Amino acid sequence: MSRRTSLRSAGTLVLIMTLVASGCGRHTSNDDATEPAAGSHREVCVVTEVVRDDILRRGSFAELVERPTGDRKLIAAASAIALVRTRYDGDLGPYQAAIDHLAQVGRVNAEEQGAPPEPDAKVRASARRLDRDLADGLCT
Amino acid sequence: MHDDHRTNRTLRVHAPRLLAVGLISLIALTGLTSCKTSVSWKLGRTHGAVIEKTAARASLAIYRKPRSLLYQLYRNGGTKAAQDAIWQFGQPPVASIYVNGIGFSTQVLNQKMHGYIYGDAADFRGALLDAQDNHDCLALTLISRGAYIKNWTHKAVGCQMGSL
Repeated sequence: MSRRTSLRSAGTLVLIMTLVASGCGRHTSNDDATEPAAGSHREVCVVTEVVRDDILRRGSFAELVERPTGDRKLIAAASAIALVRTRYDGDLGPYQAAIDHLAQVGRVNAEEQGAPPEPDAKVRASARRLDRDLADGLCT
Repeated sequence: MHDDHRTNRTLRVHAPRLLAVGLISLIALTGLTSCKTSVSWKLGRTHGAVIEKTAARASLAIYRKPRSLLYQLYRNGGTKAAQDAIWQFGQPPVASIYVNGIGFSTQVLNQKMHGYIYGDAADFRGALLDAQDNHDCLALTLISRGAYIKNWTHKAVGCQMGSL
């Protein structure tokens, strides 16, 4: 990385740091080139990675969105997606409805304000589409 | 990390060419002085730097709203899920910092951050619980009193609500 700017801070100690992480880099090198393009299929893989690897395991998104309010697996998955969506907020195409629904469930649950949304037909169809495409190798 | 001959009044910023977020504006965030500078970058609404001038301490803080999400993820999904989520939603580095001859180059932060997040699950978990109980930020302190450290903790100083 080339040096682009240099600043002076007069009369004060200035400490700055930043969080280092790569959205695609959890099991790869921390390389900017692996950053998924917004709205790409790779982005939905990043957004759902924690849910697929740590929470769902053998479950499905279609089953997940039907879980009752307060269900631990639903809260965990929704929280994870809401967090990662703060960074990866691109258009997810056919998966957007399911992901947005889960993110909203996560936010409402964390903020403890109001009832989480219920899935509608569009959310269910989006979740089924995500399951089908994952089974067909979307994120492998 | 390496000692550097740069003075404590020099701040170097490296903006990675490939980073889509663009140039950052530099302002330092401090809780104990009247210094009105802070760091902002694309995801400043979820986390930021906390600078405590008197203690010469620098921490990264995850703000209250995302911290609450992280707690819910930990409580219902476990420690590893929470660690994995932090790794996912954090930003690549956009700055390096040198103060009084110590600091972090961008490359060094890159190399070390995975270890910071995953290296001590108990420390991380304890800090997250304390942050939730105290309505504070979850914080990772990396410099204190002029020395490098690594400590997950909770922090009210410099903490913000953040947004999701």
